[in-house]
Amino acid sequence: MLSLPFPYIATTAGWITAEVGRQPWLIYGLMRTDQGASMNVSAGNALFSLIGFMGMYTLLSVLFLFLVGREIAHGPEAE
Amino acid sequence: METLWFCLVAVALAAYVVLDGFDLGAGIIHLGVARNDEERKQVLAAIGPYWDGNEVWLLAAGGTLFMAFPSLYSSAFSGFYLPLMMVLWLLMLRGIAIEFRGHIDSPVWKPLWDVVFTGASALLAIFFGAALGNVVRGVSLNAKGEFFLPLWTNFGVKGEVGILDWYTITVGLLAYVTLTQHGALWVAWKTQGEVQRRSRRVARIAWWTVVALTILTTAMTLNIQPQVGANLRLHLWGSIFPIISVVSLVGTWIFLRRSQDLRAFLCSCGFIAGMLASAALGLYPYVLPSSGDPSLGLTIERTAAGPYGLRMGLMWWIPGVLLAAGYFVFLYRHFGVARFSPPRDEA
Repeated sequence: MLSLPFPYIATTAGWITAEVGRQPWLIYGLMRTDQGASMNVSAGNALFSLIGFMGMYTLLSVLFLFLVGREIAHGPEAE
Repeated sequence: METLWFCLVAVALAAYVVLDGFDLGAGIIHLGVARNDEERKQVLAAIGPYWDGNEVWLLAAGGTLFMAFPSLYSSAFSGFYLPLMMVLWLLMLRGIAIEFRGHIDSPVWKPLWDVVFTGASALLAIFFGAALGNVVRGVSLNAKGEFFLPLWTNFGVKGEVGILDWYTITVGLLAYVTLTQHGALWVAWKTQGEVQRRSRRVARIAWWTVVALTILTTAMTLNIQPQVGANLRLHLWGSIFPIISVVSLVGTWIFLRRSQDLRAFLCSCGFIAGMLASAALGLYPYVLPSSGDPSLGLTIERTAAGPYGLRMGLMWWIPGVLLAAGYFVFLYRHFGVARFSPPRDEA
């Protein structure tokens, strides 16, 4: 039971390693991250969508924890 | 080769609209045709096995677009950034609503997700229609082939345009009523009892609005985008697509009157496919026209990937799509003509 968080930590750590480790390259040796950003999308737009996604994911996480907590509290179905 | 890919992107997009269209349509009519929990479950069961796979065709179309016309992808997805983000969130909300609804037996939980399901589906239909309107009308491209559209400018269709103007709003409404009809016909085919009766009524009413808005939108399109009329005159064989649409629309009505739901639904599929094919034909060779100077418009030549890439892509795309299509045939046959009946105590 104590090992519950480990898969989440492992997956997230893997992704963070990949995405932070690749900096400053978008395509290693060919293109840097700041060269890949669109010139037409302003910082404000990117911030709006970032906050939007954070909000969505926060909502989803809360709902997920709530629903899974209910399932766990309910316990296994009787045989 | 570029023309072939133009057609393949159009095919993938048409597949998405025909397939996920009835999921969205079922969502739009969900609150109206299903008045209690059992009926709501019927509607959700009608799209249950299919909606997730149908949605994936959007990714297939987007991926095909990215592969075949990368500069168009980059230009369009930057220019339409905010509406695309909203479409993404609406798609997420639609999926969440379907999946979460059944988890808690509560008079607050279930209606909440029902409303989210219907709202997200309705907005998606309107957004997708407006997106098509934007593509046909053209956008304010600069010399580098880039643009960024505000939500609206002066609601006019020339020069500096916005995402919403009287034309794109009309196309959005056309998409809304078309998908309402499409979804109602699917739900009518897949259910029995009260839900089926109400869906057939919705389909009948929707049909008239589809006819009216199709006529209006066609007139507007021919007026606004001279490319469309010019292409039809140039490629007279292309008028097969509008003819398919008209015949299908008439067929929808005939089969609806005879309560032959499956045939009516298939005619609705034909209508949507014919309409999208007509739009693709009208647009060619532009993939994204300019709302100002026509020479700034993005054509398939300007935006297509290199010939090697296109050839390689074809070698992967064809087996991939055949595999996907084979699965879909299996899926629809497996769940076959199962109709979802009302619970026994209501019969």
